[in-house]
Amino acid sequence: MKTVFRVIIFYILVHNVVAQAPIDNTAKPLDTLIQEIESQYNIKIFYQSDWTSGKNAAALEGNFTLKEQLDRTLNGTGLVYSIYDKNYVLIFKESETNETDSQINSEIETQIEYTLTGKILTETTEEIIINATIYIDELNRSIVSDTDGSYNLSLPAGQYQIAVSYIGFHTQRLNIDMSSDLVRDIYLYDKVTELKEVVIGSNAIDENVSNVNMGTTTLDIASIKKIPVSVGEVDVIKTLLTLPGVQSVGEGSSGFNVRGGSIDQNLILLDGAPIFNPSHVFGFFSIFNPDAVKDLTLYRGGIPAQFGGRLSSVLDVQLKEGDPINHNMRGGVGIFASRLGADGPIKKGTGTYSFSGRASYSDWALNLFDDEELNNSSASFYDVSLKLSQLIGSKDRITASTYLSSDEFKFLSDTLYDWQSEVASLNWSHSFNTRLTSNIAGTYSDYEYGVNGRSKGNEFNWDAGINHKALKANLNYTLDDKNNFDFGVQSEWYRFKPGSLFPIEGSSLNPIDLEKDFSRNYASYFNHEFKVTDKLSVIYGLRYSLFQNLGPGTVFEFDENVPKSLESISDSTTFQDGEVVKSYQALEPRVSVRFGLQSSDAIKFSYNRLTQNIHLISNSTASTPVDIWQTSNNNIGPQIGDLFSLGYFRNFKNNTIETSAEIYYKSINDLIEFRDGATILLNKNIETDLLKGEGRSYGLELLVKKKQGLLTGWLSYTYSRTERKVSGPTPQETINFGQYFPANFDKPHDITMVGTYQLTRRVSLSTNFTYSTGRPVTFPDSQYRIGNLAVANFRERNQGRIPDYHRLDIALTLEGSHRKNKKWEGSWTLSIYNLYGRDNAFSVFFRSENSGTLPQAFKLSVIGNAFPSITYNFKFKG
Amino acid sequence: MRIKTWVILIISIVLLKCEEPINLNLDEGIDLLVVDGLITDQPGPYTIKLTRTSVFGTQDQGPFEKDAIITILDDAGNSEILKQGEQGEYQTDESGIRGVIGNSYWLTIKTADGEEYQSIPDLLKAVPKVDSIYAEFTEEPQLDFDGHRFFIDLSDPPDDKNYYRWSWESVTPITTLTPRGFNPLFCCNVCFKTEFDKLGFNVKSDQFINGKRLTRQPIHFAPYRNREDYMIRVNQYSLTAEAFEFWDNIRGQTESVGSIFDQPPTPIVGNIKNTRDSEKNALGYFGASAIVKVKLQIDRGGIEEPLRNPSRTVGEGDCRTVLTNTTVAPPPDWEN
Repeated sequence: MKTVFRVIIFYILVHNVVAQAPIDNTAKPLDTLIQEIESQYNIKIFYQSDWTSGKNAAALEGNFTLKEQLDRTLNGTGLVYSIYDKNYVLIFKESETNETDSQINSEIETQIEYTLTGKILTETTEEIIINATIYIDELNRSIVSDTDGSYNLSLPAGQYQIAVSYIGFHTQRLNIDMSSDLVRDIYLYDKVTELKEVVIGSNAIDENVSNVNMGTTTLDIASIKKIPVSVGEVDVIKTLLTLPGVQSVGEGSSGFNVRGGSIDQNLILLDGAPIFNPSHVFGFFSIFNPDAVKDLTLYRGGIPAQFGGRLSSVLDVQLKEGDPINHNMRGGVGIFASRLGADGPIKKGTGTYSFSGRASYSDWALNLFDDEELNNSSASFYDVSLKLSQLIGSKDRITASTYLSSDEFKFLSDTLYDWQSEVASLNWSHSFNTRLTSNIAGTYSDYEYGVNGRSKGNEFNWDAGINHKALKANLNYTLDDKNNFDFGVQSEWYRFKPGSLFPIEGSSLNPIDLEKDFSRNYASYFNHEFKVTDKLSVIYGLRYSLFQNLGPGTVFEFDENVPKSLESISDSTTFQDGEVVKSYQALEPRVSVRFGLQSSDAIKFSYNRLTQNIHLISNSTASTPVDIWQTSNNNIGPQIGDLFSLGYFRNFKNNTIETSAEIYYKSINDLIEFRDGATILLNKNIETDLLKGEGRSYGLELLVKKKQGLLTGWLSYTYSRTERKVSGPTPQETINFGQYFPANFDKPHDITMVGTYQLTRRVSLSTNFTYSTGRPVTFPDSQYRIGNLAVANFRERNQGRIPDYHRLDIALTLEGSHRKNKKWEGSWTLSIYNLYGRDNAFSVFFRSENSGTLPQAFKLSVIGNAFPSITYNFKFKG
Repeated sequence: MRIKTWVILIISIVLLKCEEPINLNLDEGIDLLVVDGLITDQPGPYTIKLTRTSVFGTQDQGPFEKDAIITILDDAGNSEILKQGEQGEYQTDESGIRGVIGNSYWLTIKTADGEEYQSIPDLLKAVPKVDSIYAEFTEEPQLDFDGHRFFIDLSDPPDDKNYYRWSWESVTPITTLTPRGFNPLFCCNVCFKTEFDKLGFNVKSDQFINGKRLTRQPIHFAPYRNREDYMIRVNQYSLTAEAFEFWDNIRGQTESVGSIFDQPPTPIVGNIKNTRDSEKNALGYFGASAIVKVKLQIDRGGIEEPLRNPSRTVGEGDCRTVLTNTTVAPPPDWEN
């Protein structure tokens, strides 16, 4: 009220009257009278209460005009008034206006008002909008656009914030400086278009500086869709690789590596349920359908105590909810897959649904080749998702989501690989009052994968999987604007299927059925966000977890002085169903501190400890769909990671440019590495092939981000090192003679530049450039002969490097322009991956061209040419 | 599981996988002793070959290790010092030590520069007989010529873990062109040429078939380029788990390379330790194997399929000198 008052007093010129009537004997307090006048004349009166306190005036009576009434009431109080725009009255002290009265009065006629006119239009189709509301904050006043979409406002000179809104569209806020008559057309963004997500975000505009957390990035799907980082399909995971501290071993590989962590150290959540393999077609695409996803948040540092179970990062993917007002359809056609989805209200205003599906038709690509092996092969995938939400009363909300993803890959006609993820979650949030809310969620996630072999005499089915169920409860309590608490408990249950081989009739193979493993994890935590002073804020929390490997099963103990092998088994114990085989407890402190220096910069520090009890066992460079998930047990302990990070954050130009510099150090204990020459598949005693190692990584991450304007995007540079050390008690349990060696994804220098330029309202151009040091590979130290065969001697792991990687991608997005047809909108995206066709190496390997000849060095490239793609997206409004 | 081949395909889907030779400047590595040798249950002499590593990418075989003292020992108390021959080869006496199933064998080496090595004992395990050996004619559109694939079947003993290795030799008549102009003294243009298995790492574990028949184990592919008879001799070796791992790693490093899902190369750990400094362990494996031998000779005259890329004659001149490993007389096991 005060600011409004001041603004108005400053800008609005006064028409005042000083009345001289006697005081009536039925006097009432002035405050009361003013309120009565407000309600009787349906106006708003602005004044300061200390001017009126203790003063009385005559009670209201008779049929006076507003002016007469005010004259009566204010007579003798030392106050004067002015009426503005028929509905507003300002009350001043007499002395403030008297001197300038005549001058002011002379200006009233000439300066008081300017007109603001224009039309309200839709952004995408430029159609007029009738009955859009134009609201002026300062005056608390609104009008609506007329039948041709135009509006006309008379406003006193000054600065105004106006808000234009219409159902189904995003409210548009504008700052208008009324110093002359203005014509201004105002465009509204359709809520159903992809631009919707651009506007979304409850995050503060200066979040980069004001948020206590560091190492957290939220990407909305609209900006992801414009970044050309993948071939043929929009890929949310590939987009993550443009962020500082996120890397992968190479093109076409599954998963991502965060600050030196391996791919199984990322907790990937889809509406709260974990995803165990985020890849379609071995990693060429991710399983997240861009139409189904609302946004994703990657925590690579400062991980809150609510999350646990993985060492390196949390990727929190949220599915999109339906439109609460209209029914819509949307979809797209790409070169590998097509998408179709629908969303809308179930019951207007309280319930919504959103469905998305995607299916590939990549088989045709295989037939393009003049190659029998390829013609006889096939690859296909699909995924579907459904999300429902329902409000129950004003305090409860339930959401349910489910996601299915399936892949099949047939090689020749005799080997079929397949993998499926099934995920579901149910979430109930209840608000007790404005300060206390609770959230209870149940999640289910099942990942099954297998190989079907059909070669003659060796027919088999092999399958493996991991199953996860969880119940989580969280209580959030806001004590005041300085203190916010979270408390929670979580229970998780795991079932591991390490792989079973079933021969089919006629096969000479034996069945092998590896015992299933069972584990559970209980966790509880608290988290306190505490704003200590204006400058200092902290978030601290503690997570306690109890992980238990359960029976049934037989477990072995190994002699500690010799390498683990079948021969060194010293004891075995059989456990009954549900008996605890081994427990691991962990206390995980999490701390984030923010210290604000000035209004636009801050220093932040964070520390977290995380532990991980499920491990993806893989001995290849890129993860394969036959890698095994393994539980911690009596022979395999949890991996423990500690991350320290320190950063300086500063915003420029009114928070439109964000910069940050972060350094971090991470150490990992009891990391799992593979013994040289080990086997994974159907290995009953996999612990005999696993080694314990240590990891360390450290780095510097610099980021500049421009958030507004025609050109948006970011530039990041990362220097980082990631190293491993495996120094066991015997040479067999040691790698590289116990020295630190670079991990497969150790890429010290990494530069990424992502930019989107809005050429016109409908056309935008995006580019992505990335450069990184070539990853380490193992080079031969020398060569020797065994019999007639020349053999390369790979003495030390990862001491060489492949050539440096760099790549430029470009994409042009054309938004729809179907002016006449309101219901249908389409957009095109044309992109070229690897624009200048650099033949980037995935690896360097050594092979003999003919049997017995010397191995030679070869470079393997995955995508060695420019790869163009085109995608058409559409939506249909019901 | 064909983990490597699927990837080649998937990458090809996206059109774009490619391989090309690359030049690397590799450092000259550490110089190590290389031991290659085997004791079997067959009569000796047995040969141990000692060489040293060479710079990667060079053509030479690596220097021969001369004047070393090699002793083969077993856990029954037998031992024999080997005699030095040519080209780094050391041999046992013909009437000397002989492998016996159930004994473990190892060797010690003292090189001329005073380094001492000892191998981890390797158990000489029995090997089952080959049930059958057979050949199938197959069309090979991927290759330049069709050919015969040779397979064997065997019955895996149900006890114990068993590991197998196979090697082959082939013999077939081959004809060279007679030089122009009549030369009454010319001999010869038809020879029996023997070819050897250059790889030696065809190994298999009974992990998936324990106690059952191992069927259709591929042994060799014989290109069909003429209609002469073709004979193959196959050795089937027993292996310990350690020897199997050694050979399987060599196989993996030689065959399973070139795709993104391959295991990165690792040192191939042998069983010969330097007694003083583990960083100077020798490369290679000294193993003990039982052997069974089988052979098969096939008649290729009756095949109806036309020859693709026929080669009835090879080279010009005396086949004994133009070609290697040839004899004019048929080998004793050749069936006419």
